Amino acid sequence: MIFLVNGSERDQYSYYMNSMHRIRAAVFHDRLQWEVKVERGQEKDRFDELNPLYLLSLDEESGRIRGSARLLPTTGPNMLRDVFPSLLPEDEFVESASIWESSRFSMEPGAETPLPGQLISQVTAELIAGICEVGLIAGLTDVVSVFDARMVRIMRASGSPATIIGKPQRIGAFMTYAGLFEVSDAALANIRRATGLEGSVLEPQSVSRCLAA
Amino acid sequence: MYIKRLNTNLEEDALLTMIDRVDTIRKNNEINSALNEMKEKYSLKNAAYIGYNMGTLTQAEPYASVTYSEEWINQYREKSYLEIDPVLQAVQKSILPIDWQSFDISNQKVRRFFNEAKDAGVGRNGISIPVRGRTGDSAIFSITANAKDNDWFQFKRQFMRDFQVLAVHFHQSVLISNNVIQPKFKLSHRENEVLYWTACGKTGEESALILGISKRGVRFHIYNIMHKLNCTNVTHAVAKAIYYNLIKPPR
Repeated sequence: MIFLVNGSERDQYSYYMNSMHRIRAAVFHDRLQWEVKVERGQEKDRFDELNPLYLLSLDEESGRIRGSARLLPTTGPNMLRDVFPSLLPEDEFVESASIWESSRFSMEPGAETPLPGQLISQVTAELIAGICEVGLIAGLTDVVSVFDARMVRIMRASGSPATIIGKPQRIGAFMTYAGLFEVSDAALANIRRATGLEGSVLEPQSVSRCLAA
Repeated sequence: MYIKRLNTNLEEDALLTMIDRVDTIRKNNEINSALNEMKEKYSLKNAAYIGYNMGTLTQAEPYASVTYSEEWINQYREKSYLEIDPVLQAVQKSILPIDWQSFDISNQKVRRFFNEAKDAGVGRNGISIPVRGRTGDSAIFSITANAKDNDWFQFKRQFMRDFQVLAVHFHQSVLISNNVIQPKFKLSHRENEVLYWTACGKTGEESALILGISKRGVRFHIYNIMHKLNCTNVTHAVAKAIYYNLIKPPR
């Protein structure tokens, strides 16, 4: 289940947020070896201070956070433009009212392992479907993101293949890409068909809370 | 029914016509007439733009252009509603569009505020869309309607994208009208290539083949080009690019 938290509600949900920042440290610092800042086991960057929208993958049985993604409008500061401009040709950038950026897509070790017979894990599927659902609420056409080759395969398996834009580059230990994901009823239907998800993955109370802030 | 009425009123390219209208705004007094035009086109009750942190323009108070009645504007000022308006507070906390129905009206102040707004003809339903600019500038773009709940739900589903896009175009036009930013006409290398082959009469598919990128990639660049050049369609973009001598043969 995907629990939504506005950046402005950080203190109210500090338990969840701390888990998220710890998982991000394990993924981006330890495994992907990106040059990210880790303090007291938590990875945070300046975009966390810009009041993004967080999608937290919540394990319903244990009540624990297992993964997360972060959304920011591309009309404002965002990672592709401000951190990874080299992924796009000079002078080219993504800036559109109908495109948001997803960043820091990550999950705790083990949460990416699919169940037998599945192509992608439950946490992965829910995060991807959740991003598409939020995009539909916000009236988006696409979500843009920076990711590695493994994510390209995962996205394909999730029924939401990426359209690669610009030129892939080696960042840290892995090849890194910028890509677009379509947001539409049809795209959501494809994700649900490919992942076997039925109905909304968004936790309804967190949706109404975020919509009323 | 609301939606039916809307569909018959609304020509197919309402959004494109509206974007074209908003993007040609160069003076402040045109903002309000464009809001009114949008109101007519989409059968809205009201529309409102409020901009923050736009350089020297808004240091004293936010920039506002609204279609609300004089009565409501005066009442809003007199009672200093700027300070308690839950919409303004909510939009600064979230990047999601906010439906006014989602506010907790068990709070007496909030309930009274919305009741008074309704009485002053603001509209039965409303959504507010946050806009975030690159340099700390931001805006709140609101539209209201008088619709039954179910029709309103349908309406939002159908047109949220239009308003999300128009919100940013209004914001850009306010910035340009007040000389906070300059209109920009600079194409990237890839955008130039895509537009060059388009101007040579190639289809999107052919351009994709020539450039070795996907069809969706070409479409993406075309959208960016139209955004940069303030154009409503590809023909418009090619014409404008030729006029301003922007297209260079690929190296």
